[in-house]
Amino acid sequence: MPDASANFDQTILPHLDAAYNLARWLIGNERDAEDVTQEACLRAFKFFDGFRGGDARAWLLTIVRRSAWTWLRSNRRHEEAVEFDEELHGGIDVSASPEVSLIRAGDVDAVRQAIATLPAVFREVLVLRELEDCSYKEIADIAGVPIGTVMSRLTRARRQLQAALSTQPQSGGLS
Amino acid sequence: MNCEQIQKLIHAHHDGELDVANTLQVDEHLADCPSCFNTARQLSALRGTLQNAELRFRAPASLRQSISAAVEQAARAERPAPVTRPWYRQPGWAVAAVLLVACLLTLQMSFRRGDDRLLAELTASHVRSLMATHLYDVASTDQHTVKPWFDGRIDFAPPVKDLRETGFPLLGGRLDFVDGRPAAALVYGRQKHFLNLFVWPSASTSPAELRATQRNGYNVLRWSDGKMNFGLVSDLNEGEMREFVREWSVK
Repeated sequence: MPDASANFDQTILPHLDAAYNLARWLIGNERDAEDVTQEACLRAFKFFDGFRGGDARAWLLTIVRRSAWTWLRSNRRHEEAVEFDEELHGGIDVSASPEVSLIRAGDVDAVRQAIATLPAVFREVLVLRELEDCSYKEIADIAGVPIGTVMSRLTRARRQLQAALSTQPQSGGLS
Repeated sequence: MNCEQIQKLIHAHHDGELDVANTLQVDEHLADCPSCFNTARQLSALRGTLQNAELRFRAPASLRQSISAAVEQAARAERPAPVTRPWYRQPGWAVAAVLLVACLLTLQMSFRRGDDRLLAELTASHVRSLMATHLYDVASTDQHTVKPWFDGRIDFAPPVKDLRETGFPLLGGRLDFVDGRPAAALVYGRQKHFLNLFVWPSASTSPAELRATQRNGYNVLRWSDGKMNFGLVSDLNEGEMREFVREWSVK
C-alpha cells in the first residue's frame, strides 16, 4: 500500500548513504555496489513489517551487509569471501605497531587504496567505526559477531591500515 | 596494568568504549609510558586521516530515485486493496497475537451465520481493546470532547452520552471496525469493569429489540434505534448492562 512505501521512504531511505557507503567499500566498485544496495533496500522493504522500531540505520546496514557478503561469495576470489577466522589468523598482535608517517589527509585516493588492500572483514569494521561512527555494540549486531571479535578485528584493521599507509608511495614526493 | 594489557584496551579507550575504571587506568598508564602513548597518538593521527568526508561514498541521486520507484512498485504489487485500520498498525506482540486470534475467529466465523459473526466480531474487538491496551484514541470523560473527535474520522456522527450520574462514567472513544465498516467505540467504566459501546449506522430504518447473548464469558447486548446499531460488550453482569441500556435510551 502507498502508506507502507511512504513510511519506508521516511524511516529507511534517510540511511541510504550509510547503506551505499558500506556496500561500496565491501564490493569495491560502483555498479555492483548500486545493485547490491538496491536489492538490499527492496529486501528491507519486504521485511519492513518485521521492523519493530529502534535503530533503522543499524537494521538497514545489517541487511545490506548480508547482501554484500552474498555477492562477495559468489563473485570474488575464494579467499576474499571466506569470513575471517580468528584462530587461523591469530589473536591480537601486541608487537609494536610500525612507525607511521601518515599520508596527508588530503590525499583521498591514496587513503582509499590503502583501505581497499584490507581483507573485507577488516574493511567492514573499519568503515562502520570510522566512517559511520557506529558503536562496538552496533557493529557487533550488524556483523553478527561478539563485541570481542569486533575489538580484535578493529585493532588488526587499524594496524594493517597504518602499515599500508606507511608503505604507500607518497604522491607529490618529498625531496 | 602492564603494556601488554594496555595495548589490548587502547583501541577501546580510543573509541570511548571503556568503562570509567578502565579509562582511568589507561589514562594513568599513558601519562607514564612513552611507547603506549605513541600508539595512542598514532591512533589519533589515523582517525584524523579517516575523518576526511570525501572517503565516505554517497549514494548517487539516480540510485535513490530508482529505489524509491522500485519500492513503490513492490508496494502496489503486494497489496492492491488496502483497508484502513489505524490501530492495527500499532507495533507489538499483543496486537500481533490478537490479530492472529481474530483471524482464526474470522475464519471460523465465515462458516456461520452473519449474526453470529457480528457477535464474535464485537467480542473480539472488546477483548482486543483491553489486551492491546488500546482502549481509546481519545481519552476524555467529557462527551463534548469525545463527540467532536469523531468528526472527519468517521462518516457519521455517533451519539455520545455521559452516564456518570448513574455510575457509568464515560472514559473515552476510539475508531473500530464492525460489520465490515468503520464504527465508533465508546468506552465506559463501571467500578473496575470496562464497557465497550460500539455504534454504527443501521441499514434498516426500523428499530430492533434488545437482544442479550453471551459469548466466551462476555455479555453482548445489541439493539437499534432505527438510525444506529448498538453493541454493548463487557464482562459486567447482564443486569447492570441492561441498566446501562435503559439509562442510555432515556437520556
